[in-house]
Amino acid sequence: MKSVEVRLEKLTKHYLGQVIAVDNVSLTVKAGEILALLGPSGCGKTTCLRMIAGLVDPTSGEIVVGGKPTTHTPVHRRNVGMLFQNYALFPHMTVAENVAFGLEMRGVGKAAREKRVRDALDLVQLNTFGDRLPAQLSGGQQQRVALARALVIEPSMLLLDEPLGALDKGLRESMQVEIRSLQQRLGLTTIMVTHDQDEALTMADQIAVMHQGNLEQIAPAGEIYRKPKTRFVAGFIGASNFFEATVTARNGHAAQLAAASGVSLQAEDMGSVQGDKVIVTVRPEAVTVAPLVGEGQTTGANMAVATVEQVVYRGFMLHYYLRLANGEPMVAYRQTQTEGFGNVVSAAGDRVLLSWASDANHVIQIN
Amino acid sequence: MNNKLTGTSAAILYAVTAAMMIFILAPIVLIIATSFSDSYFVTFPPEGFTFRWYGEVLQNEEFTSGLTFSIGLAVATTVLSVAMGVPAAIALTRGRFVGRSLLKGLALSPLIFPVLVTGLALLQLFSGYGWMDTKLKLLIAHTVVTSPYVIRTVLTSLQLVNPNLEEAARTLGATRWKTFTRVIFPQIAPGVASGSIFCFMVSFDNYPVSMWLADSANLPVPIVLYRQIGTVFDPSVATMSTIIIALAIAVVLVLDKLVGLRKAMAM
Ligand SMILES: Nc1ncnc2c1ncn2[C@@H]1O[C@H](COP(=O)(O)OP(=O)(O)OP(=O)(O)O)[C@@H](O)[C@H]1O
Ligand SMILES: [Mg+2]
Repeated sequence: MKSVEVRLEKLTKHYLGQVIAVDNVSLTVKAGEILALLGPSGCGKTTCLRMIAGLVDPTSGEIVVGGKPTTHTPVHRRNVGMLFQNYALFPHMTVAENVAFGLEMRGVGKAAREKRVRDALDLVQLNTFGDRLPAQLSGGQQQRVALARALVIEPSMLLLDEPLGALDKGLRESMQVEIRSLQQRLGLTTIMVTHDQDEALTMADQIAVMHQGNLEQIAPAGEIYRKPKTRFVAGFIGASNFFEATVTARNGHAAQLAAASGVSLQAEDMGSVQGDKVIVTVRPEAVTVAPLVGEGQTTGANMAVATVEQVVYRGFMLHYYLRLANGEPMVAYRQTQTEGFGNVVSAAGDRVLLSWASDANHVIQIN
Repeated sequence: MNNKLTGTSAAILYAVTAAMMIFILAPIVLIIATSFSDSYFVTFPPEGFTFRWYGEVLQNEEFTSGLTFSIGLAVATTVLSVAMGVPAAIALTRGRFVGRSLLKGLALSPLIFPVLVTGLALLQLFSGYGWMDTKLKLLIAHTVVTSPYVIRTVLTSLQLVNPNLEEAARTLGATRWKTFTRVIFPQIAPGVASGSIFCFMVSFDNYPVSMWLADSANLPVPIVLYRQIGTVFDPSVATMSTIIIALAIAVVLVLDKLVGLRKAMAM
């Protein structure tokens, strides 16, 4: 299967009499990669995917597949493999007939068809299920049939719209791994829609975060977590502590900042951020919690005194819900047995000293 | 929760149900019994037992030709109603046009227009088309009356079809037509079948529309029956009715064998 690059150029969709569902989205999915469209409900993920599939006509913009504009190609000639959340297997056809459908539409002869159907069912480990009807399969098996049906036509790309949403957690995780490894083995360009950030981080090479029809940021999974570009992305992917801060001194890439909450911050890398008013984010797992030695203890940069409001035990992690002197909330995640309190968990009402490394400070520009 | 009725309420319910069944079935049973009655008049209770009336009725040229005419008319009406009703139902569920929900509501609401008036209106309309064959007029008129039945049953079953099926078929390379024949139609076939049965029945025993439009060369069987009663009231009328009932049941059974009607009705 030859992989192709998929490019969206200023893709826009206005539904009749509706708000703008997708607004001027441009992005590129490299050949053989998985892109996850991630965002809250109603942000336009499905609309975006359906435009790529050809099921929805864009209001404007261009879809370029393998260098060829396909914006006006009808659905049935786009050669895309698509998975739906509700599987969408044809209920009156057997598993084998379902998988054969796309080949039949392409006029593949009976003998070749049967062989390819068998191979495809092998691929998803359902070779003994060919004669069953979809209703006689479990949800996970149905989605694997749908996957075989989508792959057997050797599509130029795979489109997944929350394909695992209806499965329970354990099955969902194993299917994520299964789809990911199949996709890599076949080198198939894939675009998936999800509102589950863990799913996106597990499966995708690139994550595109959407918000109200706009593309907020597109970046590799690790980068989008470490270096969110906007406050929305920082809050949507994982949890974050936010400081509204003013730059007091710059020193090359580094800078000193004063947060509105009275905390002074030392950032190592301002990136390309301009201006004096910024937002600094700190991931909760970067924040260390230590007992306060004395109330008068001096605090330096990237330190703060706080009161513990609640400690939530989350298996191997403890979630500390804290409040700063000026009333602003902070969150810290610590492994259950680490420095500071040792095995003793601090309790609500305790006064603690928070600190974090200066490279944990990530600076975001305010637009 | 236990929904089983017990005691007095159960007894009342059974009694009411039984009374209802008797009320509905008694006239039909009476007609069937009368058709075997060995007497020259319609009497109650029927006397004796004979197949004489069947022999006589089947010799009756007017009746047999009326019967074949009505069967032909009902079949043609059904075919035409399905041919128009299915696309109409699809347009009403999938299409995007102004007034769609209004039209859909109309199609799904109880069929409120008095058929008698429809017949009269069509008579007036057709009076300007003197060249038109009576058969064609009857076909059009019957189709006007019956096609809502197809639209309704197909609309109902279409609404149960997962729209993603259609989209899945399209992405797999099916044209719109292939999507319809291979994916949509098999899903709505039971609805089409039950709609067809309604069509056939409504056309087959239609009197109020045919009455305005039929002429002596084109007589549907209900009109033949009515005329027969007007001349003689012997058990042959009951026999004709019984034959019609038997035919109706046969049509239902055949369609049930073909597409599993019970499943369709239960939907
Ligand atoms: N067929 C349609 N007609 C009109 N508006 C629509 C249509 N489909 C979607 N919308 C609107 O467009 C916006 C984006 O919808 P979309 O389905 O793309 O969101 P989504 O990101 O997939 O959300 P979810 O996570 O809930 O599936 C929403 O405001 C929605 O109400
Ligand atoms: Mg969606």
